[in-house]
Amino acid sequence: MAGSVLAPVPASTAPAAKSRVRRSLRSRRTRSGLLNGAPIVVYMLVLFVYPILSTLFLSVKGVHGGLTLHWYADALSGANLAVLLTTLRISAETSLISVVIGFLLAYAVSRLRPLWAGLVMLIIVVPHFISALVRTYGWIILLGDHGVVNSVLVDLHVPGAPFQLLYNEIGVIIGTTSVMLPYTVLLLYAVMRGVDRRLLAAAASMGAGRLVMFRRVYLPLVAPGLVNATVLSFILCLGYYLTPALMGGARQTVVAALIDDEVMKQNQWNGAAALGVILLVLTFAGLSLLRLARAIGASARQRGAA
Amino acid sequence: MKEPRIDRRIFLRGVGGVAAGITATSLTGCGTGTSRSAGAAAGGGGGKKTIVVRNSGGTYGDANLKAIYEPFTKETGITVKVVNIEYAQMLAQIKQGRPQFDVIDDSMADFVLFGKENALQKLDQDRLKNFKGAGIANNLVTPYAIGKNYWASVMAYRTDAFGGKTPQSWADFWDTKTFSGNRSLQSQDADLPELEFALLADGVPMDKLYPIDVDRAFKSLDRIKGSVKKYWDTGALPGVLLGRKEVVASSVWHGRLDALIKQGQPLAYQWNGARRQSNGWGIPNGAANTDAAYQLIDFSLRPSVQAHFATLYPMGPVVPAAYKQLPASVSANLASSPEHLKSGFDLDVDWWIKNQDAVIKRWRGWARG
Amino acid sequence: MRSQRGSGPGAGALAGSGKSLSVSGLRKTYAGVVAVDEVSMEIEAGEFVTFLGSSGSGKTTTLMMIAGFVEPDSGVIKVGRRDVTRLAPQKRGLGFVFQQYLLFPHMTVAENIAFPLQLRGLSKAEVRRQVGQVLEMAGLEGYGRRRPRELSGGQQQRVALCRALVYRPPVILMDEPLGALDKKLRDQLQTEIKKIQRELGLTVIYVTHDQEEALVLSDRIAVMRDGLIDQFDTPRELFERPRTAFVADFLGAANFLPGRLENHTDEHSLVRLDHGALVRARPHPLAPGHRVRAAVQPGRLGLCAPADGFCTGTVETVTYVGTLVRVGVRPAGAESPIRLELPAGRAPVTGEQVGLTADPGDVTLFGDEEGR
Repeated sequence: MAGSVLAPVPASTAPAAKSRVRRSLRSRRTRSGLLNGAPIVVYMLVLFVYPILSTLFLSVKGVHGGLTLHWYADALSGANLAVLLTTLRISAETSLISVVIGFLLAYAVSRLRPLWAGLVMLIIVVPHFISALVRTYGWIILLGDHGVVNSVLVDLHVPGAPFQLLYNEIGVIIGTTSVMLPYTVLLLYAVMRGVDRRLLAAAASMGAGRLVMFRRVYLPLVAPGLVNATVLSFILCLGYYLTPALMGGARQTVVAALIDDEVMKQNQWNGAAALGVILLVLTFAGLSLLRLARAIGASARQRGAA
Repeated sequence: MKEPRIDRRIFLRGVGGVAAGITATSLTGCGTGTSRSAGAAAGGGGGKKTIVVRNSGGTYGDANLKAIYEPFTKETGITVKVVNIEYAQMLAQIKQGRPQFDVIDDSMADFVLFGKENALQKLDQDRLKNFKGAGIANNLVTPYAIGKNYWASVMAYRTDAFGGKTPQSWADFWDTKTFSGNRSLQSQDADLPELEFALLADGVPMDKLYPIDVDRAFKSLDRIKGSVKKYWDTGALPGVLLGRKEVVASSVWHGRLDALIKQGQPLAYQWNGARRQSNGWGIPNGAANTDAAYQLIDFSLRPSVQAHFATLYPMGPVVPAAYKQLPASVSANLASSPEHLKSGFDLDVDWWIKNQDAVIKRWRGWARG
Repeated sequence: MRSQRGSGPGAGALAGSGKSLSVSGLRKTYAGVVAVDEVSMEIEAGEFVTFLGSSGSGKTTTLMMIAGFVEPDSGVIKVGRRDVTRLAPQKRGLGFVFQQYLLFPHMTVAENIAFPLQLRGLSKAEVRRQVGQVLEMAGLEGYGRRRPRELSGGQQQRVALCRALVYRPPVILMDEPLGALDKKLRDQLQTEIKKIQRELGLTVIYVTHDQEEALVLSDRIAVMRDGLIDQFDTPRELFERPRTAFVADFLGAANFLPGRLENHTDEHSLVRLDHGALVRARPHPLAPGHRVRAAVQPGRLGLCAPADGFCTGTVETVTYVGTLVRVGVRPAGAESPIRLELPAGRAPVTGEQVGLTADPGDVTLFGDEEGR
């Protein structure tokens, strides 16, 4: 039903798995399978394992050789810690807002005819192929003190207008949310298309009004998609730095920008590696959170079945 | 999740700038491309020689091609090839012993760094006949490098913002009561922080800026901080911010507003308190065509060539005699014109190389606080 | 036709909830094509009514209009005395059992059944009590905490049934609820549905294309064709006195014997079949000389000595079907054999010469223009 991008690995009992592995290694089929799998293994080793290991090594390498946690201490203190927290906050805010807006958009699109749905998706996705500078300029035209939004608000005599919508956290959130929307919309759209709408008819036949139908039937059915979309956009946000740089102020510096700064400007690879490892750990933490949510759901189901 | 990166290297300045502002560079790539074409390695007969120049490309590269490389080829028969690679990659190639390039066109600051890495040949000034008596400023002549063109960070403002008043100095820029409105200053992502402007605003005379009193500079920056809407990180951004009235005054790499001003936008530069820097020439260790490199450097220092370049690109000659060949309208827009030499100051590369890391770290903390 | 009140478990609490339903002049067109054409019917409280027809006959569309999922172009639907024609489905208070069960996959069996009760604001204890009651009635004790996908198709449909009747809707609509199940399970559930409906006095409107199912379950059957009701009657009437050739054919796969109306007596009409035999049938108003077809159900034919029947023929096939035997008899000169269903004990032998008998009341005549 819910197409999940981040499906959990089915758990297996350890001892049984061990003997199974031993047995299967003896079989000819497995051996030829390993042979066929070699290219992908080499590929993964060269392109993923090796870079990650060397980044790990860099992050604990002292200036004069030897191992040290200095770079981590540095990354997790003072201004760097503040940057880390800012990154987490911006990512969290973005993922929540983009999932809410994404939900509404995906719902609207899922009710459209396929042709119109495709057109709307195109409109959502296309702006992301536009160059960053043009987009910056576009955002200023739209959100600046004399931009479209503020002009309209001023003309409408909205109290407090013009609002500052750029070069602060609001600006960053607007920007990152717009970048994340295609992902959340596509993901949620896929899940929503998978929902059997006749279930809603069934609920209606029993007397459920629209609100109840939505809360008790529709929402639980698309919930896995919502969790996936939230975690996905959170993880993607963690690594973003162009949009925060374009639309934020100095206070909206994010970890990715810090890494770029350390490598490109200060030639400080060790510190950058430590920050990179921290980002990686945060990403895995996000994924674990997803699995945890799944596990809780599954155990609740199991308890139900017992 | 790869976004195109905004490159903020200082040498990527250009008048049009849009193309130069955005480049997708890769973090890796060191140690590649050390092989040279056979023609470049030959170096025997005059007509077939080739020299490889490193520059930062973009409109700056175009101007170099027209003003220097093409006339040079015409005169000497030496073909000029261009590569656009960055500091880290250059250094890696030099350390491997066979750099892809014979001569480097880069910022003076980078040459100091190259010097520390022992990556450059000591320049033999006797091989540059146009150098002697040319009057090139002392700070643009180092053992490893020689200046080429001046550029500057200057103040820019909207002429329609202050009711006819004109901000005359950085003190006026800092005076947000008399000259009210939002400001923009350069981010440390783009180039060295503008501590000098803060000191000028605080009353430090131009000849007493270095060594910079960092504490005093930051204290001065504290006063303007509330009015700074955005610390710009790309050369094109000040023009956008000023043009859209997001800010009324900003620092800017000189030349970046020329196109907007030509379009009739109410923008102007203020040369008082301009911070000058220069590009320069250097020859890497292991260069295959040292002779040709000296020839090209020497050619570029001819007053006529310096003047020609200035008409194509708003960077100032380092050879004063070039001004005799330039019309006043062009001179008035260059960082090294006699008047602007007086109204601005040279960035002290040595001080910055020494203090850069500490200042940038402090700047980052300060800006975020 | 009233159902008797039963006394099974839970019947006391749930019994007697059925209300009458009336439909008049119901009409629906899709893009100019008539799907349902002026359907009118009165259904009594506690009655089990089936819409029987092949696909495209309008039976499901009619059901959907009663449920409120499809809006009629014209016509009136009343539950009891209440006009519900323009109400949204959730405001009609009816029950609906779908062919695809449509249990909520994220809820347990008990939660599924509790859902309509919770909507009606019952206390937790009351909900638990009533859910337990219907689960027991449906033989699903101990399944309350399972998820729907952990159940077999038959169990799922039982749950769906429980969910539809637990809140005592005045009318329960069922859209081919057994269509996705195998034959054995279908028979079993038919019995259960009928039993529960009787015991609780439910008003049920049932849609199916399976005539056997319709005959087993229904108090009355509306045979539908091309958006119209051909005949709305008790199974017995439909079987014995089909008003159209279509009804006769659809219900019993009747034998249609072509012939010519020869003459009328006081009690019967006489038909000369094309292969020469003379058969007596229920009176028919057509004048002698007209081409007719004599319809007779296979189960209503009997065997006798060759000379004693209205016609004679050779036994071609003998097939045992449980306690019945299906026999094919071909009269000399006939194009196709006449089909009979007999008790297994009376099976003839292949190749035997036999005579056929029929009670004139079981032979219905249709003019050639009626039906296909």
